[in-house]
This record gives sequence, structure tokens and C-alpha cells, in this order.
Amino acid sequence: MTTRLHTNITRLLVTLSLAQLGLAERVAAQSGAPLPAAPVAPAPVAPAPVAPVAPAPVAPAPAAPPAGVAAPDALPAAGPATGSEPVAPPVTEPPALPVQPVEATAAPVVVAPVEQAPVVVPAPPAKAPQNGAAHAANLDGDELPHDAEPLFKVGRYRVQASGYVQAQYQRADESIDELSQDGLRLLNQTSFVVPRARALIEGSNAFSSLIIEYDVASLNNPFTAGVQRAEATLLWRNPNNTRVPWLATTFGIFRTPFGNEAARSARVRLFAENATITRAFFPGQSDTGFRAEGGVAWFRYALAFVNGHPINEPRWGGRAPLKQGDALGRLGVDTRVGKVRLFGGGSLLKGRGISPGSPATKDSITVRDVNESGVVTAQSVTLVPGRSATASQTFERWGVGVDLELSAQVLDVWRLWVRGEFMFGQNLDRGLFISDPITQGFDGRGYGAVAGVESLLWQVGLLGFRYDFYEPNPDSTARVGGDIVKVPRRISTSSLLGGVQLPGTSTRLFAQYDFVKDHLGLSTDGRPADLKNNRFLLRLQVSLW
Amino acid sequence: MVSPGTLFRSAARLSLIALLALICACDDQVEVTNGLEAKLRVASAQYLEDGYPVDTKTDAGVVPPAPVSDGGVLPPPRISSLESLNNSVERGMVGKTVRVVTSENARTVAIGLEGDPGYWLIPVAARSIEFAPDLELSAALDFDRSLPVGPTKVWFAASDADGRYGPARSLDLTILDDVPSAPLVVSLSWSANFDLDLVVVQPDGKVVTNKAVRSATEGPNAAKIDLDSNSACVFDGHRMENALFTQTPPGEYQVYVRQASSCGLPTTGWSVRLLREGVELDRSTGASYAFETDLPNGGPTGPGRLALRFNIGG
Repeated sequence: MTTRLHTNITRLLVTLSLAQLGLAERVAAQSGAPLPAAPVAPAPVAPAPVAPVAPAPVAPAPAAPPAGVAAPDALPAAGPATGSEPVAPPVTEPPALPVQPVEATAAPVVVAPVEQAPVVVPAPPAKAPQNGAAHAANLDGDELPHDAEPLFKVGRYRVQASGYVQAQYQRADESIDELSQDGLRLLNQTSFVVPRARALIEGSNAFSSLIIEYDVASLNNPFTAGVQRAEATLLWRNPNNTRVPWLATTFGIFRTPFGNEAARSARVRLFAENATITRAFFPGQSDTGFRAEGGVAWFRYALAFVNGHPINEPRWGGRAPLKQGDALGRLGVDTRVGKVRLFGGGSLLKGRGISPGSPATKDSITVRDVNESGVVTAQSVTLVPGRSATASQTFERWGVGVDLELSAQVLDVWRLWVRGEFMFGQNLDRGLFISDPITQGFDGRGYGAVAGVESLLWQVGLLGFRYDFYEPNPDSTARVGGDIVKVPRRISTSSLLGGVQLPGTSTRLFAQYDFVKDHLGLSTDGRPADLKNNRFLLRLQVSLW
Repeated sequence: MVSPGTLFRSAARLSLIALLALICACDDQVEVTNGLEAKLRVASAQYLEDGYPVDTKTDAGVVPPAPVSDGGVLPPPRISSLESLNNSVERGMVGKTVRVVTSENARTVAIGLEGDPGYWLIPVAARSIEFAPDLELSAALDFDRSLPVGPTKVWFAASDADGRYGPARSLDLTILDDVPSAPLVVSLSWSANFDLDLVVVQPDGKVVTNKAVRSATEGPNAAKIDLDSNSACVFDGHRMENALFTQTPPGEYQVYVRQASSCGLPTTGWSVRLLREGVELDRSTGASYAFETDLPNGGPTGPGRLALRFNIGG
């Protein structure tokens, strides 16, 4: 019942948002104002977006275009190159929607004429940023604004550095002041933590780029530190540098190009963490392998071959126990329909997982005081014979997903995002209810979805609502009262978020409350019950861009 | 025309309604902990910090099956039988098995120790072969090491699919001290996973340790240490060693606590008790620190720290 209630609430919010969008258009029509145009900001001290140093980091996130230079189709194309000096673009009309700094910038290679390869299209002219554009970018999925001068140059490469820190206080209902029985894990989850502190270095020239992203987190005991991304990319750029490259081929560690959430940066994601199903299917987001992606006009594509074990996977994270990994890809669109930006697509994954075997064992003796006499008797001693080793086995897994994102500047003071995503996978859970059909004896089929509404008000206010659910096994059964009955395992989370954001940056302070409804408890009727495990967090994110 | 202000007010109202609905939707959540604060723990069960759900002033005893009402409604479930091999349990005991048979409409059984703040809920999953159509379960009980010695009760009550509890039945147990019985016992217990050793110097100068070699002439009545707990940092969970004396020559006895290894931990507290015929005569407490292992007179070969000294009259 609660699930239906959440669904209805989500529908209501979406309906309201879309209704308001329509109303806003009517308001704009009556006032004669170009509705979605963001107010023009005073010229910033820093020059307008000039040239991105590196390709936009990863993944076809919403507005996070494939590696290489990113630019939505609706943006003004780069003007004719007249030299290395940025030239103001010819102003024709206000852009239909506030645009993002990243999108409004061009390829990195054209800034310095000396370094410019003859075949490369020059940099687009500098573009005066708009307030709305700058702010919108911070929720749209861009990695770097590329509107700053490079940190330094190495040969033909422009190098840029950036980073961000997320620090938070969190309170969890299920937290207790205790350690796990092995003494290694903390059961207290009400504390101050730094889930991410990341430093990023990007370098690029006309035909190639590299990204190194390093992460330190205090979530685990005591800290985890490691590479989140290490990308070596060859680029075949679109002659129009404001567009995504035709082809960007990457080797290394990159975010998995599947769906929307799994490929989004944690910096731009408004909510603290990904939805449950995303964390289950793609723990840690990044994987190691090869990726080819790009776009033509509104069309976007990505194809990847990866090891199939994302870096935060508990058992094999970042490694490759099988020579056959996963093949996955996404086909999508990134365009505008009227005043609404539309970003969506469909994803596929197919690969193999491994079920580890067991080593050979020796004979052993166990003693169990079966008659509770406190004395060793013949009944209490058991010889456990050794067993031979068993071989590891592999199994097939696959997944499909569809995602859709709509965004628009509803009012001058209100920018709105509506996101939705659905995933279905067989034996694809690698982070939560980990799939292993060999040991479980059946294929683990799971599905889930996430829908969210995010708002940026007056360029500083953040409001968001997100609902997600994950059904790890629709056919789950349990013995209740001597009978085998079907029992639910679904986990759903409704998240409410409110906060403020420093205009024009990704620096934000917000509070989030998660209402978690699951079936991890036991009710008096013997069936699974909702465990009390709601969560609250107050997070400060300070970003260098 | 709808003004933006109206829109925002509407959105605010809707958000408030949604928030209230979400809060209301969460009021049936089950609040659980891992139950380590309870004196009784039950394996594969869920600990609830509420008070025991059934009146435990009187034991229902053996309840005959109640008749089914005219409407075909079964009465609240009952505990048909409780089976325990040994009703005397040592405190700190793990895995004591109790077989619980319930009527066929039971779904869970609430198990609670007298005096505990909460109780354990365990599902009834299997049909009884012996007492069909009744159901049965086997509960594995762990008892805390700080349980008071003496009689106590463990309560059992079954619930049906509607959450109705039947009458409670008790299992009467006697909690025994985890110190072995002997005419004279010197008991050392400690709190953290150190490897501590108990050393007792007898009036005649003989040293009782867990590594002492006893001569054949001393016979079975010679003093001995019952266990080398946490030996070589292989943790056994006991953290207790007892020197057992069946013969007590008169004179002064000296009790030392020797730190063989800190096992990577910084500190531990310890307690030395002197018991005669189960009655505590004296007690000494202290702490050991990791650095003491590295002192010239520390470690497994050192004399240890003098913890207690007592005299036995002639």
C-alpha cells in the first residue's frame, strides 16, 4: 500500500511539474517575454567559457556527453575562426534554454595557435555566460566547465586540475553503538563522514585526452583511496567543436555507459547517492575496459567491453576473474522538443559472471556438546572427512534499461528536471543481493526503477523528490508456518531534499531524508516486515568548479 | 491566468501532504537491534526492544487445544511442549538447544528471558513429524556471562498470522557459575582479547601455571589451571583461567597476572577472585597494557603482576 502511495505521490509531483511547465509557457506567451531565457549575468571576472582542457570526463550522463567536447545540439555553433582570440558570438536570439558552460565551450586544442593542428577547427568564440546557464550546468551532468585557463601546458597538451569534497553528518535509524561480531565493521552509522574527496587531472590535445581521478573516502575502515577513473582517449572530433565528437575511443577505467544514473558524476548528482538498483547493478560505477562513444546531431551512442566487475564490487571489484567480461552499450538522444530538453535512451548489457569453487579440505574433528553434559562423549565427537576441490563455474548475465530525462527553465526563477529510469537484469546484482545462480540454484532476476523531480529556484534554492524501488527477486519464497509461500523482498526509498547552492558553482549545502521501505525485518505473522532504517544526512559539497 | 506565486503555494501544499503521507506510511516499521545488550540471545531470530508481548505472571502450563469457534476461527496458538536436555546452564553458554512445539496456526514464537528489556522473535517454519499437524522449531540459546547465578525463567509464546499471542509457557533454568567447583578456586577473568595467564605461587614455593609440569608423585589432587585461554592469541571467547585446589596447604599464596601477549590490543581490564566452596572471599581488579609485554620483566617469561595475596590457616 505504501508503495502505491509513493508511486501516486511521484505521479502527482510529475503531473504538477508538467502542468506548471504548460502554465509557465502561457504566462510567457501573455507577457511576451522569451520565457526560458535565463537572465543575463554581469560579466564575470573570469573569461567566458573558452576551451575545455579535456574531454568531458565520461559517460553519456544527462548532458554529460561522451568523452570529448560536449555540446547540445541546440547551442549556437562555433563561429568562424579568425584567430586565436576569442570573439563574441553573433547574438541572434536568446538560447532556448539556459545552457551549461561545458556545453558552450569548445575543443581544447584551439586556444593556442602554436599548438593548433592544422586540421583542427578553431575554438569557438567566447560566450558570455548566463546565470541560468551556469547554475543549470551544476545539476545537468557536466563534469568540468572548462571555462578556466589551463593549469599548465605540457607540449601540445593543456592540463587542467579540479576536485571536490563531500562531507556530511548522517543519522541512520538502524545504527547501534556496536561492532560486528568479527570486530571489523562498525555498526554505528550515525557519524560524520567524508564519502568522497576527489582530485581530477585532465589533459588533452586535438586527438587525444587523458583523465585521472583519485578518490579518498572515510566510509570504510579506516579509509579507502584509489583511482576512480583513468581514461586514455583517442578522439575524432566533430568539425563543429561545440558538438560531441563523432568518435571517442577510451581504454582504462571509466564510468559504465549504461543508463543515466550509473554514468553520472557524483559531483553533479543532486541526491546524495544513487538509487538502490543502480548501486546493486553497478557498485562503484566505474569499470575497466574499452569504450567507444560519440554522437551525430541528436543521436548518441556508446559501446563498451569491460571486465564486468565494477570497482566497488565486494568480491572481484576492479579485477577480471574471467577472460570474457561484459559487453554493453547505449543508444540515445539528446535534443530539444520545444522548450524542453530531452535526454534519453536504451541500454543493453550481456556478459558472464563467475561462481568460485572451493579448495580441497582435510579431515577434521568437531566437538559438540549434544547432550549438554559438559563432558566429551562418543556422541559429541564427529569426524568430518575432507572433501576434494570443486571447480569454479561461470554463468550468463544480462540487463536492459531505459532512461528519460526532461529539463526546462519553467520560469525565470525556476529550472526543473524530471528524471526516470528503469532497469531489468538477470544475475546482474553485483553489489547488494549478489547473484550467483550456481550456488543459489536459480537465476536471479531483478528489476527496479527510479523517478525524480529536481528544482533549482532563484539559482540558489534546491528542492528535490526521488522515489526508487528495487525488486531483487520477484519469485522469492520462504517457509512460513510450515508452508512455502511467496514473500516480498522489494526495497523502496522516497527521498526528500532541500538545500542551497552557491550561484554558478557546484558548491552546495543540503539536507536529505530517506524514507526506506523494505522487507528485511520479521513481523509477528512470520512474514517479512519493514525494518526501521530511515536515514537523514546533511551534506556540504565544495567544488573547485 | 495562474500566477507563479499560486503555483508555488500549490507545490508547497502538495509537498507537505506528500511528506505527511510518507511519515504516516513509515509508522509500522520494525525497530530492531542485534540484541547483544540482552542477557539471552537466540540464533536466527530478531530482537525487539519492547517488553515481552504476553503476560508472564503465570505460566500457562500445558494448555489443551481450544475448540474452534463456530465461525471456524482458530484460537490463539499455544506452546504444546518445550524440550530441554539440561535445565542447568552455565553462564556464558552458547547454543543451548530448546525444541519448541506449537499448535498449527503459530507463525512466530516470542522468546524472552526474565528481566531482559526485550525479547526475540523467531519464525516457526517446519511442520512437526512427530506431533503433526503441530509445528516445531529448534531454538539455539546463548546466555550472557554476566547472568546472575540462580534460578531463572525463559518465556515462550506463539503468535498466529493475525498477531494474536497465545498463553506463555516458561522454561525453568538454573544458571550456574562459569567457575568450576572445587574446595578452593582462584579465578582470573579479563575483558579484552589479551593472552593473559594466571600464576599462583603456593606456600611451599611451587608455582601453579598452565605450563607447569606436574610430577607423578603429586597425583590427581595437585593444583591445576583448567584452561589456557586465548593461548597464542587464538581467541576462544572464554578470557578466563581458574586455578583449582583440592588440597590447600597452609601458608601464604600469591596470585600473579602475567601478560603473555596483548594480541594487538592496547589494554584490558582483569579481575581475580578467590572462592572457597563457591563463596567469594576476596577480589582484586586491575588493568594490563600492551607496552608491559616489552618490559624487561614482562611478557610470557616474566613474573607478572601481583594481584592478590591470601593466607590459609594451618
